[in-house]
Parts: sequence; C-alpha cells; structure tokens
Amino acid sequence: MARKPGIQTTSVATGEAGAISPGVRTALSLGLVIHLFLAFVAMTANLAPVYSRVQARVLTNFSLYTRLLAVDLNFTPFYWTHASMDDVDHRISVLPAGKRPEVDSDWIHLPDAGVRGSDRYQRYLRLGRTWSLMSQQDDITAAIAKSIGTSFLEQRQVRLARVRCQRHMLQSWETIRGGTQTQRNPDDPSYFQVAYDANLVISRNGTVSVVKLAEAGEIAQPGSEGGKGNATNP
Amino acid sequence: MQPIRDYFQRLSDAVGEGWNRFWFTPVAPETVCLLRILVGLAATYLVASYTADLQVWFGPDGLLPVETVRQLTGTVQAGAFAPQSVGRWSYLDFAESSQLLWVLHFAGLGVVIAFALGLYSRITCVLSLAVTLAYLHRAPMIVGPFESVVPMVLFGLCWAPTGSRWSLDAWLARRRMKPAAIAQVTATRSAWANLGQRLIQVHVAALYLLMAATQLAGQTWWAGEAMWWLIARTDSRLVNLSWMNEHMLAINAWTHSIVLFEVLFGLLIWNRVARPLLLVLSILLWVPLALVTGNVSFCLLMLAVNVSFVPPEFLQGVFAGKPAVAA
Repeated sequence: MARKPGIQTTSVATGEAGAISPGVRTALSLGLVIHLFLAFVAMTANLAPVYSRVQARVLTNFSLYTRLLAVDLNFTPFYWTHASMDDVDHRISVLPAGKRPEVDSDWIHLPDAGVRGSDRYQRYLRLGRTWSLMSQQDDITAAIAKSIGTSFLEQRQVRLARVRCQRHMLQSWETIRGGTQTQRNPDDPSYFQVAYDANLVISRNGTVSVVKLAEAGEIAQPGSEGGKGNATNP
Repeated sequence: MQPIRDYFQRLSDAVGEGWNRFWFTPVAPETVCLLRILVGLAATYLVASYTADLQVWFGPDGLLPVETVRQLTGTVQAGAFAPQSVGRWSYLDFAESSQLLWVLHFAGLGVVIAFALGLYSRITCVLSLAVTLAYLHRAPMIVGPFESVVPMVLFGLCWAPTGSRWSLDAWLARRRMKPAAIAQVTATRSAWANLGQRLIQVHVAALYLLMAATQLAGQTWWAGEAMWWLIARTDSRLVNLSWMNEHMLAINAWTHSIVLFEVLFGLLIWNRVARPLLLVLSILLWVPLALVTGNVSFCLLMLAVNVSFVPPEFLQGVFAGKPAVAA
C-alpha cells in the first residue's frame, strides 16, 4: 500500500537505537488506552453535575486504580473560586481554658506558625474549609473538634475550652468604594461567620467531650448584624 | 465493499502510524532528566513541608487521626460509588507511634531527595510516587492542587530513563563502568523517554482544559469577577490588590484572559509555532496567580512541568552554550 511521503514511518522502526520492540509497544499501547480512558472518565466526573450509569460503573470498578494513582483529582478546586460559601478563607480558632471568648486576642488562630503562602499555612485553611463543608454532620465535626482538643492537650499541654471554625466573608468592590470605615476593614468582626462552634469538656483523665453550641451560621459575632456579616458573597 | 475496506485500512494505518510516532519515537532524555530534577525538588518540598507539623497532623494525638480521616473520606472524598477505603492506601496509616512516624517520614524524605539527585533513579522514581501518594491519601482533606499534580508527573517519569543525564547514576556509571556499559546507561535516544514525556504532556494539557472547564461551570468566571473574589480572600493572598476595585474592567479582562489562556494552552500547545509563545505567556498566568491565591508551590510547579514541552534538542543546545531554536 502506498504511503504518504511525509510520514516518517522509519522513526519508530524497531531497529533504531532506543526503540521498543513491537510486542512491548502493543502491550504499552493497550495500557495507555486504558489509562487515558480512565483518566478522562475520572477527570470529567469531577465536572459533571450528575453521573451516567456507565460513568458510575467505570468509576466504581476502577476506583482502586484511579484513586490510588490520584488520577481522580478528588474534587480538588482547580477552578480557584466560584465565590461560594465554600470558597472563602476559613479560620480555625481555639480558646484556652480560663480565657475570655469575647476578647479576640485571647483566642489562638490557627495556623499560629508558618509563613503565609506556604503549604504548611494553607493546610490549616483547607482543614477549616473541610470542617465548614461538613458543618451539618455532627458526628464528623465533633470528631474534628475532639481531635483538636486532644492534640492541644497532649502535644502542647494546653486545655482548650472552646473551638470554632469561621468563614472569612469577602468584601465586594462596592463595599470598598462606598462603604463605611468599618465595612472597608476586611478584618472587621462582621466579616466572620461561624460555621462551627463548640465547647470542649476535658475530664480529669484527659478525655475530651464536645458540646456543640449552635447550628452553623446561627451564632452572632461581636459587632455583626444578625451573624451573617456584611460581606457581599454571591 | 472494496472502497470501504480500503478506507478502514487507510484509517487504521494512519491512526497506528500517528499513535506510534507520538508515543514511541525515540528521543534524547534531556527533557525528562530536567523534569526529574524539578519534580524531585517539588516532591522533596512536599514531604519536607510536613516535617514541622508531622506530629501535629498525623501523630497519635494529632489533629487528623486515621479514624477521623476515614470518617471524613467516607462522606465527601470517596464519592458515592465505591467503598470508602478503595484506593486510599497510605503506609503512614500504620504509624501508630511517634517514633515510627518519624522513621517513615525521614525514609520518605530520603527517597525523594535520592530521586532528585538521580540516585537509583529507576527505583527511587517509583518509590517517590508511592511516598507522595502516601501523604496525599493519609489526609486528602488538607492537600491542595500541588499535592495532586506531583504524583501525576512522577507517574510519567516512572517510565523514562530519568537518571541518564545530570544524575548520580550517570556520574557513578562513568566512574565504575566500561565505555560500553556507560553508553547503555546514558543512552542517546530512547523511546521510553518519549513515552514518559508524552504522558506528562497529555496530562498537563488535559489539566489546563480541566481548569478552564471547571471555571466555566461557575458564574463568576463568566461574569469576569473571579479574580476580584480571589483578591478579596485576605487570609490567602500574598499581595493586597484591593485597590483594583476602581478598575473592574481590568479585573474582568484578567479573569477572562485566564480562562482563554487555559483553553488555548490545552489546544495549541501541540502546535510547534504556538508552543514557545504559550510557554512564555504561562509565566504571566502563574506568577500573578501565585501572589493572589497564595498557592505558590502549585503555580511554580505548573511552570516547572511546562518543561515537558521543551524539546530535548533545545536543552542540549542550552547546556552546550548554543541555544537551539525550539522545534
């Protein structure tokens, strides 16, 4: 059969130095097709609002491969932001026993170490985001709160009285242009909305118990108007 | 029937030839070797960045005990279609004592450093992949895009002879081996180098398209406001650009240009003429994004993996002091 002159069929000739034998090439091609297909399905699954049955079946049957190799990107926010409640910064704060909850400087805001922009710093923001996302699931949020209480007690020898996760709401450009002095300050307490808040009760033997204070977003912050903050957050 | 048969024969031949040429043409290994150094450094940073907080996160009394992570992954991270544990294996799950956790951590750090240096690179590349995946799976709720992309690139490098240039492997080969053996270790051209490089290229291009697609799934990117909402995240950002509230048209243009660039990169990076321009322009995408989002490591990594699109001949020219025109 006639070949088009432009096609360099000799470039993959098996006799060339560094070439792969036809048998190995066939096996690799099969593996590549399967890998790329699974990567495509896993990646598009992160985009899709719903799954088809075929997509679901593929993801289920090959989840060992896609998850183990992190081909399935696990809903990592590669979109950066959609300006939703989940896309704001989240701040985890803890209050040592004996301190005053109404005084901001008495709280320890995590991370209390690490450089902004470092992954060490970002990990605390991501934990806060996860905590906030799960704020309706009491067993899971309580487990995180308990872990924080236990960690401070065992690793820092600090008994905590309270833990909370806050959403740091966003300022709209209109607010900065025409807002009051308070509204123009992005760190004003009114910009913080509580996603989770709980008291910690630590027994004599070091067992941490969690008493949730209220449902997410229901707790008014000092200086806020109704607890929702005045940030415009579409 | 004969014309139809001939058509499918021609189609089959053309696809087969194109496939083989794309994936299996032997190439020089400079590109994958440079990627080994860059991604090896990224993997080293990834593991080392856990050192200060290792016990805080993963210790026996840490913030994320294995049981808590299993609870978390069982609801949102594992998805609706599979048992929560499938594919989420991490050797760090078995570190029940602080001492064992330290041992595993520093062993992992040693592996990724060895890979960056090109020591037993065939083995340490696979081990580096296992190490980075172990941190990713140990606590997926605190990993970001950086931790997701490092294993993706390492997977491609596992197939390539990454130790054949600028490595301890090559240095040791020159010291210990006979000339024939040296030639084998430092092979001039290799189809495996091409395979690894192509795998990384395909994944990187797909990632750009994925980013654009996920962005366009939300209103803020269509409305041109997304960059403002990133600027407004005061805890993350490294620079305060809120003065741009007076220049919303510029914010709109910036937002749209990001999506446009990501789409163009994913589609046109395969064009030899457009490639150098896109690689240079990507600096204008990632550096400002690093400053605004605070995701410095991810933005630098995306610049580093752009190297996968640089032809090895160009790198040969650069390191020989005679930069060649990118093919």
